[in-house]
Amino acid sequence: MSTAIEEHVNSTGVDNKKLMMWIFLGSDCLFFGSFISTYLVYRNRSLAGPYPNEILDIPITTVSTFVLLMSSLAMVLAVSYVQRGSQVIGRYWTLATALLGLVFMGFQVYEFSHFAHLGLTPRTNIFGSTFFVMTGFHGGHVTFGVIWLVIFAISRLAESLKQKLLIIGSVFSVIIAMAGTMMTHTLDVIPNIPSAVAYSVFGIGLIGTIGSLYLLKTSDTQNIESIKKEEGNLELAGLYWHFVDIVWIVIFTVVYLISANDGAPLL
Amino acid sequence: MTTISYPTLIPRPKEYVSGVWSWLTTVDHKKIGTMYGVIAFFWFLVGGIEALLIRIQLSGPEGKFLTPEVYNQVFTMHGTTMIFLVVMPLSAAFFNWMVPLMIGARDVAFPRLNAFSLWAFLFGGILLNISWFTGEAPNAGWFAYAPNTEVPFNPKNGVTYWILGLQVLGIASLAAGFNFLTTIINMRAPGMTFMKLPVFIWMTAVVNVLIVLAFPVITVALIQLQFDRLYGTHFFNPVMGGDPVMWQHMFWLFGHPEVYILILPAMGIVSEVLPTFSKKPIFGYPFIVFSGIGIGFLGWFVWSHHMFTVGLGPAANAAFSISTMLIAVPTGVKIFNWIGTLWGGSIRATPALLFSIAFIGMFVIGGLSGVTHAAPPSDAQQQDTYYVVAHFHYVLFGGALLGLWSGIYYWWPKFTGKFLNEKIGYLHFTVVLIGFNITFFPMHWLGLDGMPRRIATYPESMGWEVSNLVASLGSFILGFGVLIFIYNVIYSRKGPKNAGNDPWDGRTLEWSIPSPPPHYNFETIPEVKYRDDFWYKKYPELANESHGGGSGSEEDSHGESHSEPHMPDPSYYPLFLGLGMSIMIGGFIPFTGHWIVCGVGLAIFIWSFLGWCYEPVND
Amino acid sequence: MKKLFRNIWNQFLGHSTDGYFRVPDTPQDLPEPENDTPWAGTLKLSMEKFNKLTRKNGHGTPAFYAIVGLILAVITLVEFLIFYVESLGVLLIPIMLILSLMKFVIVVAFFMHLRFDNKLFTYLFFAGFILAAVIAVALLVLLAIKP
Repeated sequence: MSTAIEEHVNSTGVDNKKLMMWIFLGSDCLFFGSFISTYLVYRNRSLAGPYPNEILDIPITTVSTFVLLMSSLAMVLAVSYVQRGSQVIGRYWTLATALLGLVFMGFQVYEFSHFAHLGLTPRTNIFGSTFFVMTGFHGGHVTFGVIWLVIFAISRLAESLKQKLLIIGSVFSVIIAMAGTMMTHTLDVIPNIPSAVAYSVFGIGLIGTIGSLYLLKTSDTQNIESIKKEEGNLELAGLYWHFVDIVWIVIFTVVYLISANDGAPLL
Repeated sequence: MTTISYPTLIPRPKEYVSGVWSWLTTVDHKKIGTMYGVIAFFWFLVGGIEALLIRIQLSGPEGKFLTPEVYNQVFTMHGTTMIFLVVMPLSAAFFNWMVPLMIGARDVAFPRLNAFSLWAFLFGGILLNISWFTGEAPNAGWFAYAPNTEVPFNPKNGVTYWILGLQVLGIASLAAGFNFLTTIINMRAPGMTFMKLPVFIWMTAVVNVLIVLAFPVITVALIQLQFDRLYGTHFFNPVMGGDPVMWQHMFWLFGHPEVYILILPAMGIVSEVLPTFSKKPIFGYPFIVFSGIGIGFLGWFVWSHHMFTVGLGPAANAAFSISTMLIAVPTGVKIFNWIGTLWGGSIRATPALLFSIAFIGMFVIGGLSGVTHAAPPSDAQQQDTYYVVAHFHYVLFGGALLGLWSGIYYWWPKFTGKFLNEKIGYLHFTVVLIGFNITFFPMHWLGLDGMPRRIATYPESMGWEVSNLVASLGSFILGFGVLIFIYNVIYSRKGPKNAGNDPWDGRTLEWSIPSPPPHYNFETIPEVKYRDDFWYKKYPELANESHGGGSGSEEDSHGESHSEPHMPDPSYYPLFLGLGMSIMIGGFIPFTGHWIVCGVGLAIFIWSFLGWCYEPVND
Repeated sequence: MKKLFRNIWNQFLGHSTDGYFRVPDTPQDLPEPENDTPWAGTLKLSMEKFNKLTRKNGHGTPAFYAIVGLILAVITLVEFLIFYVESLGVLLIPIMLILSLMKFVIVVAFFMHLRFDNKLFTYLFFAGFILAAVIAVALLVLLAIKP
């Protein structure tokens, strides 16, 4: 954006964007709060199986929780390095964060498809409805975070706009393939993507991502001012990413640890 | 500046484009505010016609003017339109125009985001109203109670349009909410502490806090309803363990703060108009501010009073009854403050002031009838009758809309540099006030006489004919009043630009700059020392510590050069981001090939999102 | 004793008890109140060390973040292990809630820099968080608990 707005001396001395990010996070608390409230209210109300105790797999989810926590660590290191002036190392940590996020999403895709094979879809019972919609929207937040981080990471790791678009395109195709698989397994009203198509899109995207990452060249065409602006942007992306992480901490506790022993309701 | 430009993939308009594109690509808060106002007024006419259709149908017993099905659609769309497409965006028009001007800023904190919320609002409204043309407008009432909205009971796509349209409108409101909160917290002129903010800005802040916190809840509820309808989940389906009461809770958790989102901006406008036209500072500034905050806070803990007849149990009913009655206290404080402001002032009875005074009167009537259904036993009698209809029209029309009209007459010279004709204004005021009362007052009697709301017709023997006929006649008087206002606007366009900077001898910063303001608003950012700073700059002899003055900041202004400030460049992407998002969300409506529409929307969305990120700067 | 708790609370949040309505500029260190217990000295010393570590130039070092990440991982492991202790019964819920609240606070305080940053952000975020929690409890009371 242009200059006049940013020249304005801020009344509280904090950055406008960061302030807005915190307001957004406060608002997003209500968003996930509503999902989690719904889940809690509907706990133990399923009238048909499979029930949580038959289907939730704590060890695997613990691992995916660990992955997301470590991605948060990578994120904070990225912010830390970028703010200390190590721009390139910071970009690599950002990329690491995004990749860990993708791994987390992979776990979620596996979990969703696995549950669907075991007979739990959003249509099966009220546990399925609340579980899939809540974790699905959390996954959507993770997806958005991954895209944001990738866009940031390649802002100085990629040389030309073409390369940037190549990377973003590849990441998009990976994500779309993953999300598509997830949705066609769980929501049978969504047009079914043949798995061959899904896997090939996924494969092409993966090859594209790895290939374009291999070709990375750092570009130094930006001046100090735009680097400063980018530091601010990374801090925002970081706040967002950590927020997604703490939402998962709550979901992991509420959905998995606390209710994993829930069986059929006592009527 | 050494920015890389991407001319083909990601264009950016030149700094001063002209014609239609200057409006479509603008990021200037004043132009955006004007567009908000014009679009919202268009929807006001649409919603008004829907209201007249309802009144024609009900003017006599056994009405045959509309079929029951169409009648359901008309009253649903009337409510939804008036709330989401009229009162909220009209308030947003005032936020857009006045927030930067009153706090001494050159624009809002995020100009592109601001433009995005305008376009999302426009397309959301269009998405909602497309349903008329497919012949399946939403028909479940504005609070869309489940399971009435579930597929088995409502198989047409109407409710889906309603869900997705509201989803887009919610995103628009959220974006605007983040933006205005940031602006108010962070862009105040030097020296303007929170307790020196104009009351309208305070109310805007409270409203936007409510928007930011309440809209996520309805977003989630709408997502759940959408999944129920389209993908077969069971959130509100009792057969599978869901609970329709959960929808009611989620809806009113949003719905009650929404009520204050609708009324507080009007309260803020009235709190600006009354001091100006009685030449007195607002009476009891801290009281009026803290009662506004109190209303916003308590507004979160009263939602179940919409559900007294659901059967929540005596404990819950008692608790929510108490909190509801409690909320009358800060509201009453405000009313006494307004009266105290008028008391002993040198009053100039312009149309703006008359509308404000009418606001107080009508709002008191609406507020008192509101207190009567804060008590569960009496509410059980009034629930879903015309008494409730009378109540909320007294607060929404007699309150919010009269307050907004007051704001239009008050700030019109600032918007355009011309006055709205005063004589036509008096006529407009008189006709609207009389028509309004003739329309809605008989509804109190109808409701207490047991006439339920939302019935398409009624038999002859009920004794409701006279009151209904009077109400219908009144609604046409009211419609005529609106036509007078339109005539006034057209008539005043020809008038001379004679408003000058400060036509009303105003108190707040917006009157210190030319009308209409230059696109950069303030040549130099003003230094604020007192509450109502402009007034004390005009009349320094009146400045003393009792008027919110005291320890103003003594620092010198940061020595800015007096060249014309550079403002943000226009941008295509807010428009296309809003368009892409609305097409994408609209693509979830299940018609043949809707996934293709969704995909097209997604493509536009991604392109404009990347454009938004990588957009070069014109320098 | 009361003073001691207030002291810990203030030290941790960096808040002063007067002036809640003032939007502060930077976290400021307060003059220490007098000690009224024999062990207050040690506490003060360790808090000083803690503050030095967590407030260095407003940001932690990579090593510090790594330690915080390790603590988070350990808490997750503990949760995982506790889950399989069958004798806990109903106690499982409060234990899990406390552990996850610890993780929540650690991430918010250190990774999201709320401990280092302007207190305005703390107010804004927790306004939303507390409201969400209150709504969740209210809905549970209204809908899930049948008399």
